[in-house]
Amino acid sequence: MYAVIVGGGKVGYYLAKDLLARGHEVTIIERDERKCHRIQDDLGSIVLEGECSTDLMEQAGASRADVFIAVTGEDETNLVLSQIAKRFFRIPRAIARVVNPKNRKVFNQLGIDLTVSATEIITSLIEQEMATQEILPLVALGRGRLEIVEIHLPTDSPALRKTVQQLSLPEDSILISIIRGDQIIVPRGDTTFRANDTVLALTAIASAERLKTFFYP
Amino acid sequence: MKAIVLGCGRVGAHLANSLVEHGHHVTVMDREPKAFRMLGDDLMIEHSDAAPDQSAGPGTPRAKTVRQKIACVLGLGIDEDVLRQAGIEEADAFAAVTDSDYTNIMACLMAKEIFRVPRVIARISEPKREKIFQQLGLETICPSILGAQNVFELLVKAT
Repeated sequence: MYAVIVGGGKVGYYLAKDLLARGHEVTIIERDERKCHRIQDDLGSIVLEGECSTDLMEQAGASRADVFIAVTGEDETNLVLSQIAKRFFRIPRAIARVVNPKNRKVFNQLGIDLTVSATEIITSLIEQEMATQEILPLVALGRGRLEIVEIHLPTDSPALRKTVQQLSLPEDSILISIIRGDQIIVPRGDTTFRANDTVLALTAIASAERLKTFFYP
Repeated sequence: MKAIVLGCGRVGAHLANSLVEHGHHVTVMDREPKAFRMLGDDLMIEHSDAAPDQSAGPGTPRAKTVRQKIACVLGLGIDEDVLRQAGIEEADAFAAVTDSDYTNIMACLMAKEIFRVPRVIARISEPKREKIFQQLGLETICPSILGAQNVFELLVKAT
C-alpha cells in the first residue's frame, strides 16, 4: 500500500515509522526543514520538504496513492488537502486529523468521513472510566448523520430483565452487540439485558437522545 | 443584500466599506480584535445617523456593533458557531479574504455546502492553487494575478 502523509510532527512521524515497519510505502510532506532532517535521518529518504501544494502532491505521486493522511496541526490545512486528495487526485481513502473536536461534524458534512481527533479519543476514554450516564459517541458515519454509540447499563437501568423485542427501540436505531464481561453477544429479539452490560448501537444522530431514555433512568 | 466578509485586513476592510457605501448590510469577521480598527473612522461620520445593524443577532455576547452598519464578530472563520453568530444562515453573500488560503477555502466550503449561501468567493494568494479550488466548485480571486495584469496593461499602454 502506498500512503502519502502531510505533516511530519509526532503523529506523522510515528505513523510513517509504523507503516514502513509493516512493509508499506510512505512519503511525508513537511514544511519545516528541521523536522524533515530528523525524519530523513531516522527513516530514510521518504520526505518532501515544502508547503504542501498540488505540485508537491504530484511529486509525491499522489495519483497512485492508496491512502492520503493529513495530520498537520491545522484543521483548515487538513480539510482542504483531504478535499484535494479526494476530488483532484482521486485517492480512494483520505483520513484527516481533527484538532478541534468541534470541526469533526464539519469535516463529515464536507465529505471527509474518516477523521481522527486525539482530544475526543482521550475525553471519551476518560468518560468511559468515569462511567457517566451518557451515550458515548464512537464513530460518525454517513456525513455525520449516523453514529455508533456505546451505552453502559447502570444497575437501575429501565432496560434490565427486558428483552430486545420488549424495548421497541426507535426505528432508526439498531443494536450491534452487547458486551457482558468477556462475552460478546449478538443481540436477538429474545436477548435480555443485564446490569453492567455494554451495548453498542448504530443510531441516527437525531434519535440518540431518545435512545438514551431506554437505558438510563 | 446581507454580506459577510471574513478577514478584516486591508482587503477585507476596504471591501466592507465599499459594500456599506452601496447600501448593503455587512458583518465583518476576524480572530484579532485589533483588526477591526482597519475599518477606519470615515465611515462612522458618513453613516452617523444610520441605525445599528442587527445582523449579528441579539444576545450574542462575542458580537458587537461598532461602526454604523458594519457588525464585527470576533472569532475563527472556520468555527460553525462563530459563522452562525455572524448571521451566515441569512447571508446572501460570503467573501473570505484572510491571508490564509486554506482558511479561506475551508470557510467558503462551509458557507457553500453547509449553510448554502448563494454567493461565495475566496481570495487565494497562490496563483497555482486557484485552478484546483475552482475544481472544488469555488469561485476564487487571486489579487497577485489581478495586480500583475493591471500593471502589465498600464506598462504596455504607456509604451
